[in-house]
Amino acid sequence: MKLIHSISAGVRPARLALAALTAAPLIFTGCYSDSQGAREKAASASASAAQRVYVAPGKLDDYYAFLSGGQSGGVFVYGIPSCRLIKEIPIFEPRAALGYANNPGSTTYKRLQASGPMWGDTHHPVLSQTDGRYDGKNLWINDKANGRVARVDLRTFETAVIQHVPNIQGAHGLAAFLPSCKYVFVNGELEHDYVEGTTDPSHHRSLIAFLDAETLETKFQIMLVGNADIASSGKDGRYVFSTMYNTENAITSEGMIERDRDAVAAIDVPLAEKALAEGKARMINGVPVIRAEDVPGVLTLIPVPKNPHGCNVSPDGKYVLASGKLSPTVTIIDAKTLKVVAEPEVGLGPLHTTFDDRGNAYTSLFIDSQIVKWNINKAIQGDPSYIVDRVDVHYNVGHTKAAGADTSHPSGDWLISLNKLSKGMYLPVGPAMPESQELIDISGEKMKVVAAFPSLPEPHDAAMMSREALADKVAQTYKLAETAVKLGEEKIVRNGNQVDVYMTCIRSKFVPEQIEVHEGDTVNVHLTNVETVRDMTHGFALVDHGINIAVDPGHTEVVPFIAGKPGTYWYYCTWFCSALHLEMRGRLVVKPAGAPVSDALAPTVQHAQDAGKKAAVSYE
Amino acid sequence: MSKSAWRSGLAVVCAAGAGALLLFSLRLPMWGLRMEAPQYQAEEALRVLVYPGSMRGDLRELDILNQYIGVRLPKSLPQSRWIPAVLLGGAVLGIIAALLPGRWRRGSLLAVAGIISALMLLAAVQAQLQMREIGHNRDHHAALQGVGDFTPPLLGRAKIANFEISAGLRVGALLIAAGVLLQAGAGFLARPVASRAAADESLAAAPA
Repeated sequence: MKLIHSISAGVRPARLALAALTAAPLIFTGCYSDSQGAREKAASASASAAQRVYVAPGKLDDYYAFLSGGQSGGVFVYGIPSCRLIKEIPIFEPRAALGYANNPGSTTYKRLQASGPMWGDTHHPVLSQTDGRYDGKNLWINDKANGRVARVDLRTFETAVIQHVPNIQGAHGLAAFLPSCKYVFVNGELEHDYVEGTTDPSHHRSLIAFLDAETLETKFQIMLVGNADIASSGKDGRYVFSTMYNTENAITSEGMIERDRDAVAAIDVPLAEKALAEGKARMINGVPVIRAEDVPGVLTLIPVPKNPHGCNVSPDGKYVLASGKLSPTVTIIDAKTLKVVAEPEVGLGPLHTTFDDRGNAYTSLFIDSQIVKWNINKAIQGDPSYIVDRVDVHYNVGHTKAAGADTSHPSGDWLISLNKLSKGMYLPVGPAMPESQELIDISGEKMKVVAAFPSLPEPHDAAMMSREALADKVAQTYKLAETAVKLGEEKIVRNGNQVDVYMTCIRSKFVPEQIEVHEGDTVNVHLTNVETVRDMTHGFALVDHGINIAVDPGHTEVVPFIAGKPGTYWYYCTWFCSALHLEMRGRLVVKPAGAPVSDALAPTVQHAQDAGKKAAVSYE
Repeated sequence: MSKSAWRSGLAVVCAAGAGALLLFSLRLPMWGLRMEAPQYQAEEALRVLVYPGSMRGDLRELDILNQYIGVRLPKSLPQSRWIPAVLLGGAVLGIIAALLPGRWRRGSLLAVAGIISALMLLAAVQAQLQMREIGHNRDHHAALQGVGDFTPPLLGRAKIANFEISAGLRVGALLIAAGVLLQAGAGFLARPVASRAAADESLAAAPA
C-alpha cells in the first residue's frame, strides 16, 4: 500500500523500480519514516510541474517540436510545453488518411515511387536558419534506409521535394551548412563498392554528399575511408564536422571496434568548392566526387576515442563536441584549430549533446539513462566542478535536443529527451510498447523532468523552434492553382477509355454528383476544394477501389483509378465537414463496354424523383 | 463684409461641406451586420457590409450556411441601384441650391436635405421588410429542422440558430446624416434677404 501511495503522490515510478531491484528494503523503510512530509513535497512538486506544461484549451504552445518519425517515415510535430501531438507530416511512407502517396498514380505516389521504396527511416530533422536563428522556411530530413533526403516547406508543412542521393548507402547524419544554409550535407554512412566489378571490401569507401538546399540536387561528394555518422556544421562557413567510426574499414562488428581511436572528420567546404572548380573531382553516376586523398586539407581527421556518436557544434561556434558512446567522455575540439582541448568524463554511454544559452552542455547517457548537465568552459579549464546536474530519464535516451540548440541563440528553457524504451511508462498495450519522450525544464540550475509523452515509432532526433519563427507564415488555406477546377466549370471529358472528371467540392456537395464510365476505363478525378474558409478539408473516398484523397481548402488533387466491374459505386467525403457530411456523396456508375454513358453532372430531376417514388419508405 | 454676406458665404461653405460628406460616403459602408458562433469567432466572425452601391463581406460563406436553413440571400439589394444617385444628386443639388438667388436658397436647401432624408428612411424601411422576408420566406425543404422563422435585426442584437447577430449603422450612414444636417444648417443660415442690393452683395461674395 505504501509503495502505491508513494507512486500516486508523484515519486517517479522509474526511480522506485530501479531502486527496488537493488535496495527494496531501503525504499520501504524510507517511505514509512517520513511518508507524510515526502508525500506533500512530492505532491507540490507534481503540481508545479503540471503547471509548467499546462496549456489551456485554445491556447497555443510556445514551441514547435519536430520529431523525426523514424520507421514511420515522416515527421511528428508536437507543441511544447504541452507535449500535444499537432501534426504528422508523411514523407517517405504512404499515409492513406492524409491522401498522401496512397493512391497509385497520384502525384505524391509517383514522386515517392520515383525516388525509391515506398518506405523510409527518418532520423534527423534540420531547420533552416538565417543569421544564426531559425527562419521558419524549411525542414530537411534524411531517409537512412534508402539514401534519400526530403525538404518540407514550413508554409504548408507539406513535403516539397524528395531526392535520392546518388552513390550512397544509408543517408544518416544530416545538417545544413552554416551560416548560409546553401547546402545541406548528408553522410552516406554505409561503405560501398566504388571499383566496378569487385566486392573486395578493401575498396569500400563512404561518401559525404553536399546537396543544393532547395532542390536537393547533389552538387558534390567527398569520398573517405570509414563510416561518417552524425553531422554538424561549423558556424563560420568553413568546416563541417562528422563523427567517424570504423576507420578500421572492417566488415564485422568486432572489427569495427578493434582500434582505440576513431575520428571526427572536418571537411573544409570552401577548399572542396575550389577543388571542384579546378576539376579535381571525378564523375561517378553524374556526380562530382572528390577523393579526400586527392585534395590535401579537404579532410582533417581528428582522433577521438573509438566509435564516437553524437557530433554537435556549440552555439558560439567555438567547439565541436564528439560524444564518446563507448567511452564515458565527450571530446571537445576547437572548431577553428581542429585541436582537442579537453575530454571530460560525463557518464556511461554519452550519445548526443545539446546546449542552453548559458554555456552549459547537456549530454544524453544511453547506458546510465540520464541527461547530464555540464559546463563547457569549466571542463576545458579542468575545473573539477564542471558537472552541474544529472537527471534520470526513462529509459535509454538516444538523442536529446534543447530549444533552439542548433542555432547561435538557444532558448535555454526546454529540453526533450528522446528515450528508446518506455517499459511500463504508459498503460499496457501489448508487447509492442509506445516510444517515449520526456520534457525537461532546464531554465534553472537543476533540471526538472516535467512530463513524459508517447509517440508512434520512432523518433530519433528533434528540433525545437519558437513559434515566433513561424508567426504569420503558415498558410491557412491554399490559393487556387491555375489547374484548379472552378465552381460552375465542372465537366466530364472522354478520350477513348480515358475519362477526365473535373470536379469541385464545397459544403456539402460534389459536382458532378454522378459519373458514368465503362468498365476498365482509366478515370482521372481532378478535384478542387473550392472552400475559402480554413479547416474545411474534404475527402474523396471511392468504395471498393481503394481510393482516398484529402483535399484542403483551395487545393486541387488528381487521383487516377481503373473503373471496376459494372455496378454503382458511391464516392463520399471522408473528412467530416458539415451537417450534411454524410449526404456529401455521389455515384460512379460503371457500365459494360459499349453501353451508352451520360456526361451529365447530376441525375435528371425525373430520374431522381422516379427513384424516390418507386422505392421511398412511406411513413403514412 | 455685411453680416448677411458673411452668412451667405458660410451657407455655401456648409453646402459644399455637406456635398463632400455625401460624396465621400459613397465609398464607405452604411450598415453592417456581424455574426458570431462558436466556430466563427473574433476575426472569423462573419460580416455583411452594405455600401451605397453594393453589398460585401462573407457572402459566399453565408450562402453555404444559408442552404441549411433555406435562406435566400439576395445577390444585390434593390436599394443599391438608386442610393448612389440620391447621394450624388443630393450633393450636387445642395451646392446648386446654396448658389441660388437669396429667396430660393433656404427652401431649396431644406428641400434637398428633406428629400435625401426621406429616401434614406425609405431605404431603411425597405431593408426592414427585406429582413423579414429573408427569415420568413425560406425554402422549407432546407436541411435543418428546428429553426423557426425569424427577422434579423436591422439595428441591435439577436440570436438566430447558433449565431449571435449584431447589426447597426456604420460610418457611411453617419457621414450621410452629418451631410444632411449640414445641408439643413446651410438652409437656416441662408435667410431670405431683405433687399435686392443685399442679395447682389451676397451673390458677389459667394465663390463662383
